[in-house]
Amino acid sequence: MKRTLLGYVPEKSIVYNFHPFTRLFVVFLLTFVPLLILNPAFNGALIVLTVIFFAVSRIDLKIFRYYLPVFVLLFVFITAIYTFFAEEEMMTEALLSVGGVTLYRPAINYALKVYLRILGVLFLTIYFLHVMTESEIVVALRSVKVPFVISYTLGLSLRAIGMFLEDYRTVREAEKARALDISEMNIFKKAAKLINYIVPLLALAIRRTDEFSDAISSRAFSLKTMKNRPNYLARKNRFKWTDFAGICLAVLAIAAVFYLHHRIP
Amino acid sequence: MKPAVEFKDYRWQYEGGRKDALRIPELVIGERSTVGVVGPNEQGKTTLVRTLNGIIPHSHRGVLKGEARVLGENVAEVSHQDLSRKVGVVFSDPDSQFTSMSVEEELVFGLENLNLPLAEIRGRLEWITRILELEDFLAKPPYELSGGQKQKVAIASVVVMKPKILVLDEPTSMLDPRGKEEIFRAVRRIKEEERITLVITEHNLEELLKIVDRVIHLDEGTLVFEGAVADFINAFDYSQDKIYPPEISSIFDFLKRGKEWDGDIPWKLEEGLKRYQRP
Repeated sequence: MKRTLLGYVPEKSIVYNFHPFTRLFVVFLLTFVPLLILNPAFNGALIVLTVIFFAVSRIDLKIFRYYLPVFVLLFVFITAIYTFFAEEEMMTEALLSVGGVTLYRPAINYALKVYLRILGVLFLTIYFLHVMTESEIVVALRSVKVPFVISYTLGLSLRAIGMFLEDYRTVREAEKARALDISEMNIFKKAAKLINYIVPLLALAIRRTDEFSDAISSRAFSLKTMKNRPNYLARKNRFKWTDFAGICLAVLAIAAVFYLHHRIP
Repeated sequence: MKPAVEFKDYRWQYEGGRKDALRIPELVIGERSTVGVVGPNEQGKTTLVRTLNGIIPHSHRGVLKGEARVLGENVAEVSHQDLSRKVGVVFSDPDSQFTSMSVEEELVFGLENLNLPLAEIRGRLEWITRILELEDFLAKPPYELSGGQKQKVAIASVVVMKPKILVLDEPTSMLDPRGKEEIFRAVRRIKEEERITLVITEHNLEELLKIVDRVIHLDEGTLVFEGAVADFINAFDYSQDKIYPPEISSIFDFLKRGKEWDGDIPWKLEEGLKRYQRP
């Protein structure tokens, strides 16, 4: 199994025949569909396509049950917004009225369209995070000559998130050992006790920054070395014909989608 | 033997400090020697390490007196970056030293900074993964490694740059016994493969003394001993409780005080067992 940004996935699947940049590019391109098109047929098709991607990448579809609460919450939130704050032109055809609250058909229709649109982006994002590692994101960016300072900063940020969570876990355990457990407290008490977490986390961050700075210096890193680097990893991960084919296919598919969208009234 | 490091009337005091953090009247570390730096915490070991790669005086404020020369160059006159190319340092916390998102990326990071040709990078990567047995870890991210593996990668990522001097600053202090063992095995391998100058600061004398040729003992920031391991272990004050000598040496010191033993004090268990015969 391979550890990606959102969990463990099978190490061998068709998706890993593609260069990290191809994966990044195709997902990036597909997100334009829900971002620019409201038609539920297109967004529904995109969701189905993403589920096929999941299956082809041999990712267990049971993982969707972890995201189910998010999908439901999102549905409730969007429906509530278009029920209570719908524009006047959407409040023309009443569907039903419950306890003084009237649901209008156009508003609910529109809410469903918006929901499918956001769901499309969400499916693509979840898929992307399941098939990419932090390192692959950096390799993808370096392959297309994104300046080292940007790709390295992004890589460090991803690394820092992991380190911060590790430190937070350590501090939380240490505070629990001193009989401070905020999990049972109400939000105001939690806020008041936050300082007990912030101070050690800041101290750890400062220490780590100092040590990290020494570590990169001892690997001969300086502002000068950021330019004209050999870029070993980008050269090692070369594009294959399948990548060009994949990118071309994605571009053609997107062009076809936008053409069809333009033609369908 | 040519000197790799020379100190002469060297004194360093951190800004705001009341006394010298490090005082070394005279010290020479020979090229290709393996030296252990021992002493209690906060007694100058890290200051010595920071001087060797130029972090002191270039990145810390303080007062420097005397002279420290590394590979013939005065550390106060050569830039920290230039010195970093010749002196590789590995610190104690393996987590803070991971600068990349995978082991392979970490190993080539320094080589890319040196602007080496790709073929050379590939060759060195293969070499270091072979001698430190890192083949299975190359694609792994740092959080999937144990403490010992992370520290081994940190050491590898510095050694692969082929520095003339390798400094390990308490490399096992944050590791479990298994991790410590892994690191000492890796250091032994590096010593066999690469005849570089090795400076190791360490609390675990048991393992350290098996590797090093000479010992530097710092106490309250002052150099109190410099010499061969045998001289160090025989001149050691076993009544003090600041640093702990190897168990076997303590046993032989006890025997010596009880007139049960009158020879030299060993520091390796096997050597001690071989030497000691009951009357």
